Amino acid sequence: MSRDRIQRLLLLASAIAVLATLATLVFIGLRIPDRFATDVWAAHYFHGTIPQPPFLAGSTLEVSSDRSPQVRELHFYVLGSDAGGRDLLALTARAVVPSLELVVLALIARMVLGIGVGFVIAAGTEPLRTIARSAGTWIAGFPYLALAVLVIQSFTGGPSTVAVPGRTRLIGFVVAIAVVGWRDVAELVASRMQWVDAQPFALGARAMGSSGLGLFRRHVWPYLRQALTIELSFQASAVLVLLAELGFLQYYLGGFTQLFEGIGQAAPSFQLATSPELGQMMSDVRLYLLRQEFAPALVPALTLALAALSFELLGRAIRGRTDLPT
Amino acid sequence: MLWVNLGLVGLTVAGAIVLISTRAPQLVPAGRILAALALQISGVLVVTWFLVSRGQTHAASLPPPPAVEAAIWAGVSGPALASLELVLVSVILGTSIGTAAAALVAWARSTSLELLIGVGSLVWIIPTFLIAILAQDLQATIYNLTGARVSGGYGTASLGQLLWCAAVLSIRPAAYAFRQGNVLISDQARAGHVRTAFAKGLLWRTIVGRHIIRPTASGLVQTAASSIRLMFGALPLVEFFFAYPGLGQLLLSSLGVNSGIQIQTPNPSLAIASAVLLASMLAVLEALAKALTLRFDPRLAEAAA
Repeated sequence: MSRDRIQRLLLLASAIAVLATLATLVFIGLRIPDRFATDVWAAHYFHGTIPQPPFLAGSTLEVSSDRSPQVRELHFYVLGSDAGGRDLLALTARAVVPSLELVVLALIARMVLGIGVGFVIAAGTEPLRTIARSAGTWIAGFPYLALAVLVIQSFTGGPSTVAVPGRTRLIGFVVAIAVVGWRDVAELVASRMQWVDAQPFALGARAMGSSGLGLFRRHVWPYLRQALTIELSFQASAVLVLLAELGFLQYYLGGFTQLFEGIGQAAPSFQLATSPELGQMMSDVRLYLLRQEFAPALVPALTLALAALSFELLGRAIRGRTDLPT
Repeated sequence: MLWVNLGLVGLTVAGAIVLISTRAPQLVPAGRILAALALQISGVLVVTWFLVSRGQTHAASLPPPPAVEAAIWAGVSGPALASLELVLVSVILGTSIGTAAAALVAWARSTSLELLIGVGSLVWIIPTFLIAILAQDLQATIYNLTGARVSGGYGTASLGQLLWCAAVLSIRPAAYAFRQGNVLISDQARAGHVRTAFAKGLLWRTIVGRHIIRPTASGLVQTAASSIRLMFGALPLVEFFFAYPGLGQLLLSSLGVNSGIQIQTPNPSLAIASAVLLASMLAVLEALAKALTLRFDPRLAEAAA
């Protein structure tokens, strides 16, 4: 077995291991009752102290929720809690599902836009090609995060608010994520199509009368499909990271309830997600870090980073197989 | 309409450059770069204006743009300088060190140094926000262990803050420059002329300097340009994270993002100005890289001419 093949198998095994670990954690998290991810919890006098949220990882506490303060429950916080005393494992597990839904939607939009523009660049008429390339240059002129923020802003008018967002915010996110990353996909599609176009087998097929969809299906698609599969994996990783960065900058999908800890409205407040999403869980990271509370910042950040890492590893593992002959 | 007018001025400048280039063929390569730059900046101006204006229609609370243009310049000049400082320090820390390390690995020809390639790949995968969190964790750990405040102050453009921000901002671009640079240099090191030089008994450092680095110089500059693009992409995030008073932070606060520390009134004109300045800085640096690429590779310069 060649060294390259061993390397690829190791990457594949690592990607599967990371994904399996995350899936197991999500499965365990979803088995924790919903109330530990939705209610606000306070701890009672226990083992000589009254712990304040965020509770430490691995602590067992007697807690009661704001909905039924008279009921006391003993709860084991595997990864600790957020500022509202909500179990981080339960919260993160519930946040994964809407985040992945958003990633899939944004990924579809990005790929469709990229593939469409790639086709135009490779096979369109000259004015269309010029327009597509100019649009690419303008998009490339922006720092990607600034562009994403500006596009979302143009749909919503500002960062996330207490109000539960409507469909406009979702559309804004999907458009922003698609607009930011389509150029790479378009360049990949265009370069592959142009490469196939110059090959003797494509020239031969054309000479034999093959054209249009038939030519594309038989001679272009097999090369494009492999490249797009790998690109999909890399793009999934990039979208996850972008989602986290946007969440950190207060741009996320879900609504929230504000938790004020100081006196008056001017005091910094935590934003407790009403329907948790990973990006939104990143929005309070800076506040937690200023207070040197690292678990509520690290758990969502690591979840996102590990998910992105697994997609990146998957892409690298299968990449070597599809390099074009030179 | 200030922004649309500026966009039109940019388009006019691009047109003028193209016209001048057609009259003087020796100016074509430079004219092409400058015209593309003017076109890009004017496009960025118009797109930013459109996006922010569209956002304003959704947010009735945003005040109208200030009438006096000088107020905008006064608002962005300080953050622009702070961001420029940060980018330059990051380029020195990140791109230069990454490229130099790639050259060093090629020069040393040591298998133990090749471990660095694996480390580079691993660092490249780590998202910037995680690096920023770990950096702040490190600051807290140092403070808890020694009592020394190493953060350089929060929300100020102090030297300490500048170095922390630059370190966080430059880690991934450094890994990128190292990985790509290493691939370029390794490919070049296997070329026929390098083997010939080696067979002729030339000193290894002469071979590296004259026959490996020099032909890859244009590729290395392109890699550096890509790593600078990465840096600009993450700039708003890092500035917001460390409350560094640069253009990224100004852009976000003037769009109404609450930092949790201070409440900033949304200001669309400042948002447009800061976004355009950020994009312009990036465009100018990329144009410089393009000019350097043409200088280092005569074949590309010939094709451009």
